[in-house]
Amino acid sequence: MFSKNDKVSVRQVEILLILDLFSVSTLSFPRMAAEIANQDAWIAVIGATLLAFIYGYTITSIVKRFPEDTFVEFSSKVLSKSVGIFLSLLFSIKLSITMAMELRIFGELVKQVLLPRTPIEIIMASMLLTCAYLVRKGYECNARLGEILVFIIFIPLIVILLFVLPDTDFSNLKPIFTTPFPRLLKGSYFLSFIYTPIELILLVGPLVNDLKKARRVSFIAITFTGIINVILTIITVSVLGSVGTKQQIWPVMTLMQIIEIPGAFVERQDALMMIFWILIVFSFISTLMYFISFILTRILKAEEHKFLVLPLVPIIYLISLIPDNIVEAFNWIEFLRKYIRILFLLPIPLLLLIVAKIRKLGESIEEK
Amino acid sequence: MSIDRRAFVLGVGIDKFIFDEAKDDPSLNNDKTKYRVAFSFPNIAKFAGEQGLSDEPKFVMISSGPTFSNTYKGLGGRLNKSPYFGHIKSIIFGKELLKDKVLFKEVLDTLQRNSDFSRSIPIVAIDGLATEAIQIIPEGNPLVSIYINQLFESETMRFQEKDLGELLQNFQEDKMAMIPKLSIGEKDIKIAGAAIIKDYELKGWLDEQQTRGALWLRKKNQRLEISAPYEDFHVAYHVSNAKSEMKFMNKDNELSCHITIQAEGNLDEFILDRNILNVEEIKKVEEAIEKSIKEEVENSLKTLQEKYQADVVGIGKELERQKPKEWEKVKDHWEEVFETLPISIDVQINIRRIGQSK
Repeated sequence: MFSKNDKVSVRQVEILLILDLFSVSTLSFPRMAAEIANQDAWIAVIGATLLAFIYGYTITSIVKRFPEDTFVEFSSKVLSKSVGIFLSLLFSIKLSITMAMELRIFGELVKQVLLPRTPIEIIMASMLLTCAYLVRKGYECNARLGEILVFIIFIPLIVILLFVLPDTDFSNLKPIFTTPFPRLLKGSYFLSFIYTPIELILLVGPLVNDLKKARRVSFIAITFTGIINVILTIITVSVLGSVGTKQQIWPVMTLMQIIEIPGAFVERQDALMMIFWILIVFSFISTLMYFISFILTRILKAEEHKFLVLPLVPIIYLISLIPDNIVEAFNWIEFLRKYIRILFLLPIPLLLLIVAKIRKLGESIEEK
Repeated sequence: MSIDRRAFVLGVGIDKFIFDEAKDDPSLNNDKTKYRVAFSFPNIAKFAGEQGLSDEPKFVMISSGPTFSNTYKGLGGRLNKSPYFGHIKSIIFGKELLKDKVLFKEVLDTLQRNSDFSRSIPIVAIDGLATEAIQIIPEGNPLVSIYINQLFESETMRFQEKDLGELLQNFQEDKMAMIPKLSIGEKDIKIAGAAIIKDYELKGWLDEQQTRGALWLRKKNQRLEISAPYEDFHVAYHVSNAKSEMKFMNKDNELSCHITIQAEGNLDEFILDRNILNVEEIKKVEEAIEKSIKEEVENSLKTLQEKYQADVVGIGKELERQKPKEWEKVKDHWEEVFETLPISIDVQINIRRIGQSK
C-alpha cells in the first residue's frame, strides 16, 4: 500500500541530476577533450558546458508547458498518438542501450582494477540485481539514496584532488588558444554529450512537486558538474601532459596512481577512486533503469512500474554482453553519440516546443 | 587472494638476453628468448623477526623469456606464491636493453599498460647488467631496491630523479629522456650521472658534472650544491631555492635562447680568519660562485648540443609554449636547430646566510 513512493522534492532532483551528469564518462572525458584540443582541452569542456545550458533551456521549456505529463503523454498530445508512442519507444530503447553499455564498461573496469579473478558476468549481474531492488522501491528511494551518496562521493573526491595539486605543472597548459576555433566548436559539440542525462528531465514532470523550479535546478546541476569537469580536465592535463592524457583510456584513474598521500600506507589509490566511481555508476544505472520501466508503464498505461523491472534485467544483461571487448563497447557508445544522443537533447524537444506553441497546447507560463 | 600467498616484488632489473654458454641452459639459445629479468622479494619472515627458515634478507629470481610478461609468468613453476607488482620500489634498466629500440619500447608499453605498476616508481639505468645490480647487498640496507628509492629522496641532489610517469611523459612528448645512472661496487651503490636516451635508444652517458649542469636548467630547484674557486681557496655554497627561466629571441630569422638562473642559499664554507661580514666581500664571493655555475651549465649544454644533439632539458618544449608560431617553423628539424642554437646564460645568486662566524 505504500508502494507508490514517487513524489520527490526539487532538491532531490537536483542531487540526482548532479550524480547522473557526473557519471561514467568522468574517468575518460579528459582523454576525449585532449584528443580534440590538446592542451586547450579545458576550453572545449567550457564550450560543452555552455551548449548543455542550451539543451537544458529547451528541455525545461517544454516540460514546464505540461507539468502533469511526461514525455510519453505530451509528445502524443502534440504530435499525434502514434508518433508519440514511437518516439517514447525509441527513447526507452536508447536508454536501454546506454544503460547496457555503462554496465559493460563498469564490469570491464572493475574486473581490470579490483577483481581480476571474478567473472565479469557475476560483477555485472550483482550490480544489475542491486539496482533492480532499489528501482522496485520507487523513485523516492532513488532520490533519498542520492542525498546520502552525494556527500560520500564528492567530499572525498575533492580531498583527493587536493593531494594531486603538488604534482601539477600548469605550464603543460601552454600555449593557450592555439587550437583553431572551428575545431574547438566541433569538439565542444562532441563533448557536450557528457551532459546527456539532462534529457531525463523530460520524464520527471509528474514526479516532482514543484516543477516551476525545473529550469533553475537543471542549470545549477549543469553549473556544478561543469565546474568540476573543467577543474578535473585542467588538473589531468597539467599532471599528465596533453599527450599523456590522450594515451590513457582512463586518465583520471592514472591521475590517482600518481598521487602520494603523505604518511599513508595505501599503495593503490586508483582503487580508492574506483569506490567513489562505483557509487556514481550505481546511482546512474538505477536511475536509467527506473526511467526505462517508467516509460514503458506510461505507454502501457499500467498502474505500477514494479512488475516491469525484473523482466528488464535479463534484457539489459544480454545487450551488455554483446560487444566482444571494451573496444567494441566504445564503438557502440560512439554510435549512440554520433546519431542518437542529440535527438532527445535538442531537435525533438525543440520540435515539440514549436508545434505546441503553434497549436497553443499546454499552459504557457507567460500568459499566467 | 590472501596476502600470505602473494610474493611482493620489490625490485625489477631488466636486461636483454645474451646467451652465456657457461651458465645457461642450451635450450635457451634461440631467437625467441629476448629478456633476462631479475625479481627481488624480501624475506618477510626475517623482517618480522620470526625464526625464519632462511637467513637471507632477500631472494632474487632470474627468469628469461620472449616477453616481459612471459618472464614473470614463467616463475609459476618456480615460485610457490604469485608475484604482485603493486609494491615495487624501483626498476633498473640494463645497458643492452636500452640499446635495443624494439625491446625497450616493449618494456615501456608493459609498464604503462599494466595498472599494477604505479607511476611513481623510481627508474634508474645501469652501465652493465641490471640483473647483477639487483643482487648486490648494500651495507646500509640489504634491499637494493629500497635503497635506490631512498637515494631519490636524499638531502643533496646529484642526479635527476625520474619516476615511471615522468619517463613515459618524456617519451610521449619529446621521444627522448634522461635516466639517472646507477653504478655498483662490491658492497655499495651510487647514483650519479645520467643516460641519454633518444628515440628509445641509448645514445651515451653524462658524467656527474654534466648532469648537475643540466639540473640547473630545471624550472625549480632545491638541494643543489656548488664549490667555487675563490682566490687560493674553494668556497662551498648550498642552494636552498633556485629557479631558471628561458627566453627566446628571434633576430633576423636567427633564433637564440637566453637562460636566467636565479638562486639563493647558504655559504657553507669560507676562509678562516677572513671577514665576510661586509657587502663588498659577499658581492665578490657571489660573483665567483656565479662564474662556476655558469661554466658548469655551459659545459653540459655543450655536450648535449654537440655530442648528442639531444634536447633532454626541454628547451624545445619551452619554445613551443612561449612562441608556438616559431616552434611550428622549426619543429620538424629541431635536432639540427638545437645543435647550433646560440644559448646565453645569466646567473644571479644571493647569499642569504653565512653561518656562525664572521
